[in-house]
Amino acid sequence: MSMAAPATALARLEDVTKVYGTGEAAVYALRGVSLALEPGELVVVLGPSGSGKTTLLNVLGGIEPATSGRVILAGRDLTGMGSDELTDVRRQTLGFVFQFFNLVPTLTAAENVAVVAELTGTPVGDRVGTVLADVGLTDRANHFPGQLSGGQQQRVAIARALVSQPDLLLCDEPTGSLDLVTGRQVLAHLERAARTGGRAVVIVTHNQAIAGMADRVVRMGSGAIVEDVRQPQPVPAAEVTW
Amino acid sequence: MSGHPTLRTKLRRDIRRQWPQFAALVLTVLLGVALFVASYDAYRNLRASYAGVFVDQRFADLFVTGGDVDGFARQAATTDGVAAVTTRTQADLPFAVGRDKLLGRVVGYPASGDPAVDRLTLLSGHGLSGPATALVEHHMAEHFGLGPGDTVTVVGAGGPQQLRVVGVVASAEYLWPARSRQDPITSPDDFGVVFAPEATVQALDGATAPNQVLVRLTDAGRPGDLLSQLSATAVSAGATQVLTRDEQPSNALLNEDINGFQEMAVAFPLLFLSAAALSMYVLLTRRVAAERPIIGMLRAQGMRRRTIGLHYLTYGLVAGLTGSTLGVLIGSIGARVLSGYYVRAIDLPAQSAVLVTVRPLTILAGLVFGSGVGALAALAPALLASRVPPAEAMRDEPVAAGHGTTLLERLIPPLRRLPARWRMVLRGADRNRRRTVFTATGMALALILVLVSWTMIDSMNALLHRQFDVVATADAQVELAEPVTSKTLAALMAVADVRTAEPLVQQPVAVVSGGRTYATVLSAFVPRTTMHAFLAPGGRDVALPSDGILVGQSLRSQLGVRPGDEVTLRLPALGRDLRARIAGFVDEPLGTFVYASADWLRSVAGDVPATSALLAYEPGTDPTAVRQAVSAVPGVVAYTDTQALARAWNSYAGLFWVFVLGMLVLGGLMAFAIVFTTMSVNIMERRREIATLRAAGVRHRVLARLITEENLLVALLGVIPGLLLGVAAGAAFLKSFSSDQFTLTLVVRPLTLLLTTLALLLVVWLSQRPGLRALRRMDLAEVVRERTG
Repeated sequence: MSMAAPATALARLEDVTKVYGTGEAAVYALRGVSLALEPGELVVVLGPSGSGKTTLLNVLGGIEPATSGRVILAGRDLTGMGSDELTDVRRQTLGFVFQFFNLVPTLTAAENVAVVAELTGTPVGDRVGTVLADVGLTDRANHFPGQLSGGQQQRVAIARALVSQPDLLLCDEPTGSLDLVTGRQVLAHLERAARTGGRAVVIVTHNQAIAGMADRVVRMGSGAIVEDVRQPQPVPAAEVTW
Repeated sequence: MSGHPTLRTKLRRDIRRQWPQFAALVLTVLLGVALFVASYDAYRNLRASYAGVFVDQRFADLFVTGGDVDGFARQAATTDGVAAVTTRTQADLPFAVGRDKLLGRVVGYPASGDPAVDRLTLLSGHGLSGPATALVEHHMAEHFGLGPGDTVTVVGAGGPQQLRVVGVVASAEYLWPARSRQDPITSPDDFGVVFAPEATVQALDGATAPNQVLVRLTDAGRPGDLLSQLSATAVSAGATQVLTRDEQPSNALLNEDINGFQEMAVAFPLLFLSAAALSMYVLLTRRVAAERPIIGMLRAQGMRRRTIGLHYLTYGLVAGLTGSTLGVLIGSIGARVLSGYYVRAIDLPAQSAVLVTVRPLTILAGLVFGSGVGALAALAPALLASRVPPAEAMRDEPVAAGHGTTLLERLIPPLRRLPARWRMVLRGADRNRRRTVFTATGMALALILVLVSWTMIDSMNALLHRQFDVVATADAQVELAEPVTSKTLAALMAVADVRTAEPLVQQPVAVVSGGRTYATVLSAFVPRTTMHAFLAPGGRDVALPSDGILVGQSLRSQLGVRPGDEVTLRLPALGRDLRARIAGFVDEPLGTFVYASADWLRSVAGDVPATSALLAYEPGTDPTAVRQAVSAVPGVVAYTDTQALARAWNSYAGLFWVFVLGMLVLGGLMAFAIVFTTMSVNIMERRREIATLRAAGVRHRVLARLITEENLLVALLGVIPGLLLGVAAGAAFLKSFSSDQFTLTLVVRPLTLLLTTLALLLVVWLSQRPGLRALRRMDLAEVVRERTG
């Protein structure tokens, strides 16, 4: 069951299929998935292992090509784009948060936040300090990842994703490595990113409890969207529990 | 081998999955072992071949010239440990072969039968068959195209005498046809040897008795100090030259040369196997770190520590054994090719060549070295793996702790404000210090390998420049039938392209001091000669003294003399001794000579006729044409092209450059193997953060540039120690060649250092290309979700 894709959508998947392997060994990770994401909405994608939720995120983020169908991001069709073009689209439009933080261990928190902007020559002004303050890490700006807790590292990863002011924030199991308390803190920052920045935030998780904070819950099974529902009154992240 | 079937399967798959890294390890071990086997077996083959010649020809252990020849011979013959004694006459006399005139050597030989010491191997023709017959040493025969039936004219005491060539021979004394220790590298145009009946040689030399004694010891007599005793006896019997077999000019030179193989047999494997060990250690340490959770799980499930350790040890052993097996095969073939080529180049008598392909001990040593290095390098990672605590290893630890600012940033705080990309490069190099040190060491080892050969060529070029452009500037020396007069000089200068000519008195001389003697040549020049510069140690130009002599500086140690000391000059050709004060030492690259002014010699020895003349030519003169024209001047009986050695070296320069190129390739391969391995490990370890940066919008080429800069920085860390050690190794290598025959001083051209460094940095750049390509093909979606990098 998929919702119709409005023309104003920030991102759209149109009848997307993703197949790994060929012939008898072919595995259908996505089967004709269509999805549209609106600015400002916080979407939680749920599903068991192998349901295709991470593939959905990867295809949406342009780090994996769709086998068929169209992927439209900020009005640009990703289908057939080359590697450098996709890289540029990701830089201009997206932010990623991964389960294992993936920080550069030789850079401090502030440097990790600034590094992509510096390497790509994208001006970020004083936003490095602002986003670190937003995630409550001003006093940890000059600490190296090895000197930070898991929750703090994930907050650095969120700051890194937000510093370029992306339209769409894609989070793959962002609390998967964290305990309840730090997990809630991280969710709160993601919630704020969606509510205050006017951007869409997509959280992929197998944790049912996180669905409570979503504006919209997309459930996946066997590579297809089996349910896509809006929640008129999501609970605050601080109240999510598991 | 690991006894656990599943672990064996894992091992096979590990190798298959990372076959380029495994291949790099195998290649490095292979090169080390192949070079060991090739150079060591070549050394053994050549030693055995020479030993065969020495046994066949009953090569002398002691060569005594001058003094009471008969008395010494009688005394030596009755000494315990002496197998045989032979006396003979040897004289350096002008030869004419067709239109060519040269200063050759005629050596007395029994008119029938073989001598007890130093017999010849007949290569063609037959033995001596009359007083005017001769056997020609094969180098001379080949150069002048001489064979039985041809003639050689020898200008002796009674004038020119024609000798009919009856055979071509090989002599252990002339495997390398050197005139003397002072003149070890002669052109075949200028030097050749013929053997004639002893009575004929005495007549040619104007002598009535032999002037040389050759002594051969028994096998039992060799190990003791009999040689020293006999040498001392010979000196006290008035000998002007006493040479042991090791000092004999041809043997000394060939020994220097084949000892190079022995040195290579140590140095090359040391470099390559060190590089292999470093690469192996880096690769396996990384693998153990990546597989900690698996190791933890296996340990938790009851696998013994020893089994885990053996699994990683086996990887090293397999790489070492594969590399050394291939290395032994290639090395054995190389040894045969190398020694065969060498034996042909030396023209060793075919029956004496010993080309053994398979020496079980060398093969065993190669296998042990290669496998041992593999196992040894894997030992530390294997122990690390066996000591992994299971609970800790299985715990989720996504970020490695312990990174911080670099020492450089702490020392120079402004570096902390560098742009992120430079900080990343700087800290990336500092990230795993042990690996950085190993990569830099690999670079340093490669630099050493290349610089040892390249500095040798630079030094040889500098030696030749110093010898022929600065010290001995004459282009030719001629021997004349009569003493030089102004008329003779005018006739020589009348030849087209001859710029100037000077008389020269040249006499064989034995310098005697404190019971020690050194045989060389005394050259007396006109006081303000333009044909020779006299350079004091340190390079200062000094004039010929009006009183006394200048001597080569190696006499300082050979005779223990100092400036101002008086020595005896024994001049056998004049039959008298002179006392002379050492006015100073000269520092010359080739040989150790005695120099004096002709005026001083005349004042102390009376009228010693100058029968030689030195010639200098106009620039660009054709050496062959002028040689023929000068040789045709009446009275000229021999011609020596004094610049022939420089030309010979230049004509071989291409070959030497091929050798340097070979070293560059080997050094490059070594640098490639080690940088490729460390680079692969570096990328494996960082692929998740690199993938994250790519996912966040950083283009591949930006990241590739960062990694390249980091690798070049790490490689540059190895450059300074590599250059210093390379130059030091070059100096040590040259020192092993220096003697009273050569004084090889290390010359290091900045351009050589620059080009070597640039070439190896290029290799480093190339060696990371496969890793960067893998980075481009990396599956971002998969990598960003990995738990550990």
